[in-house]
Amino acid sequence: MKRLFFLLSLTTVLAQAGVLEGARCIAPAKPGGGFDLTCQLARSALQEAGLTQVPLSIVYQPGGIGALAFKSAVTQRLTDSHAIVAFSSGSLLNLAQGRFGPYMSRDVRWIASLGLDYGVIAVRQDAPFKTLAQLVSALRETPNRIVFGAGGSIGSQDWMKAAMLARAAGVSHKVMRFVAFEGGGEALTALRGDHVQVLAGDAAEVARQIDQGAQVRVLAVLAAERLPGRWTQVPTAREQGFDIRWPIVRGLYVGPGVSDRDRNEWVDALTRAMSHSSLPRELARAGFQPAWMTGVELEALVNKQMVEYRQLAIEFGVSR
Amino acid sequence: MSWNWVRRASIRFRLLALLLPAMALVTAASLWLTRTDAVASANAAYDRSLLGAIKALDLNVSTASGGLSVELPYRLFEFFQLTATGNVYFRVATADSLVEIGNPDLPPPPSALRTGQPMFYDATYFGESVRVGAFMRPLEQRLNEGGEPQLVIQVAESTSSREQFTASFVRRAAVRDILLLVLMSLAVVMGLTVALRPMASLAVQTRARAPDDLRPLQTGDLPSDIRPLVDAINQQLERTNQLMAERRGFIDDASHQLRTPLTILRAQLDYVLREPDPVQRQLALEALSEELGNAIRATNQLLTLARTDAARPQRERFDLGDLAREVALELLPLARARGMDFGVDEQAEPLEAEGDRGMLQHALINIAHNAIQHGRPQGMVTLQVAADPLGFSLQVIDNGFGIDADVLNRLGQRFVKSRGSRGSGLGLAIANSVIERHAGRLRIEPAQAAGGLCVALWWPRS
Repeated sequence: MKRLFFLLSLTTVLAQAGVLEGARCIAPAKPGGGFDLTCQLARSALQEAGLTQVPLSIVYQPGGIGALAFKSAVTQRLTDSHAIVAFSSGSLLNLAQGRFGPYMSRDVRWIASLGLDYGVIAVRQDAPFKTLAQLVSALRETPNRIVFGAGGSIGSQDWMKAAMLARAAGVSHKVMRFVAFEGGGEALTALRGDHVQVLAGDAAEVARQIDQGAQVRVLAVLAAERLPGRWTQVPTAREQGFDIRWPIVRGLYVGPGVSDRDRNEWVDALTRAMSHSSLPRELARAGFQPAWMTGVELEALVNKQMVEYRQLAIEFGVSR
Repeated sequence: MSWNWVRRASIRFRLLALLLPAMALVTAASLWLTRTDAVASANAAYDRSLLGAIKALDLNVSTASGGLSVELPYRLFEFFQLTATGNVYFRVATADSLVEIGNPDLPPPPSALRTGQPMFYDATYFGESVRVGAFMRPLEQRLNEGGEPQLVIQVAESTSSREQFTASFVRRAAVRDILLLVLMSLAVVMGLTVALRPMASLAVQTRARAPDDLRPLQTGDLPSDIRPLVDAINQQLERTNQLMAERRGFIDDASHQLRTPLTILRAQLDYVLREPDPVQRQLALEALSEELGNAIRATNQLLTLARTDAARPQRERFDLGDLAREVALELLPLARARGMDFGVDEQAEPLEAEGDRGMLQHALINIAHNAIQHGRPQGMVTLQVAADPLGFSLQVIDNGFGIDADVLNRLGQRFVKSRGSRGSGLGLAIANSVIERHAGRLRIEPAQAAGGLCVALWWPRS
């Protein structure tokens, strides 16, 4: 009894002192997108591992696919160790183009990569396109009839997917019709309303929407190999003759002013949560492929992606 | 390029040819103005609905979470798309483009936006001409530390709908204006027909006149524009009428003048033929010869008068004294026969004059002849010449019996002669005609000194 009390009080003390107490995960988009899923994964993994008593609260801060959240992390909450922010490769791409303002990847502290997501090309269930080839030939004939919907404006990762598809079709990305939304969730809503004809999105968020009853047909997954699970029936773009790959790292970062101790606490907690036995189930629920990474390894990946994305931005002439 | 056909064309055609292009120009100008107006009013109306869409978007912008999100009003867009019958585009962004939602590459405004003031402009988006409405306002919350945070909302719609509206508006106006043009042309033609009716009736009236009808044309109800023309024609008619009257008068004169001596000659000849006595016959033949001389002189006078009436005087320079001496020389035998003192008042120096010498000489001969013929036997007849800065004069002064007052007033007219005169009555008329041709006057008055008559020809310097 005494021991139990001791343990309880210890956890309380630990929790009170720790970064997880009253912590929140900032999803820099509207609900229903990849950032939301990242935060949800972090929340449930921490909860399943028993590391939080009160589940991590999720705060949505839309604006420029992470631009505003990044800015406030760098300028306003720089020492707020209770706020952890979701990022993706898309954030790195924007950062590489200077779309987050005059900041570099070293301006925040990267905590971990929670999982890997892949780009998908999707259309409405009743769309005339059954394969990627049909869509590409339609795009080649009437590029102005097909409007891409995506989270993020020109230069964003969803735009990149669409632009790469247009390039595969031999159509200049400059004549490609494109509507930007605040995150993939919004773009999917627009696709369902037929306001856009093609969605360049991410596998995880599309899967989530399909589960919620969205009538969407995924034409291709932008991965090197077919994805497991629900995606085994969906061919890759490579299989269909268009070598477009778009893996998306999904992870978390904190502000630059957060102390090493707090940062390590986050890393430790997440490492424990992500090695918990429930993780495969949680990953599957989020729709991510396993890609746990942290520390130096993650820094290296971020730097490598930054270089690649800068190159890509120059190729498409969207660098700022 | 000859413009003769225009000059020869009817007034109706000419007016139409001049008015139609002018009216067409006016119509074109009015159409252009109508189009400008239609575009302006269509823009005003459609821009208002664009502004409505902007406001609706603005209402859906939320910065509550510290981020920036927009609930996209799809219902409104669909409704809007239906009414606009074209594509609708939108873009919501921060002024620094960090946040950009919607159609990212919507054309930017031609000039800098001002906060709170919507701007509308035409642009091209993906090869489609669009009308863009743009609106900027400050964000309630500072999203970042750099610069004044401003939100820009743009809504664009394809202009096909408003172009249709404008086109149909202009089409209706064009139909209306062309109809008006046709109606105005018809009105001009009809109005001209009515306005020109007096001329047509004048033509009819003139054509219906008898060939010898020289009465003036009626000007009563003619338009004032053509009255000068008719007046001119009437003047011409009157001159012709006068000329005809003179001709008729001449023929009357001639017939009277020739018939009488011929009848007398006939009677005398018959007498001569019947007269067996040679002495009597000789006497009768002498009388006949004298009568024949009279007839010849009368005929010559008549022909001279006709020529004087018709001919234009020749202007030449000559010496008045010479003229008077020549006349005196010519008439000297006659004056001698009547035992008269006939002469010229000689001038110290020559007097140069201007005029038709032949005509003037004839006129002077006639007057002097009259004076000798009707003067007192053994009387006196003097020729005088004079010149002054105003004009020239030729005078014949006698000391004869004078003349009756009633005849004096009518002297100079044709066939007016004193009682007992055996002349033709044409001498003074010819003199009168000659001097009128010189714009001068024939003056007949009692001669103060001589007690007889002074007949003067006076004409001005030219």
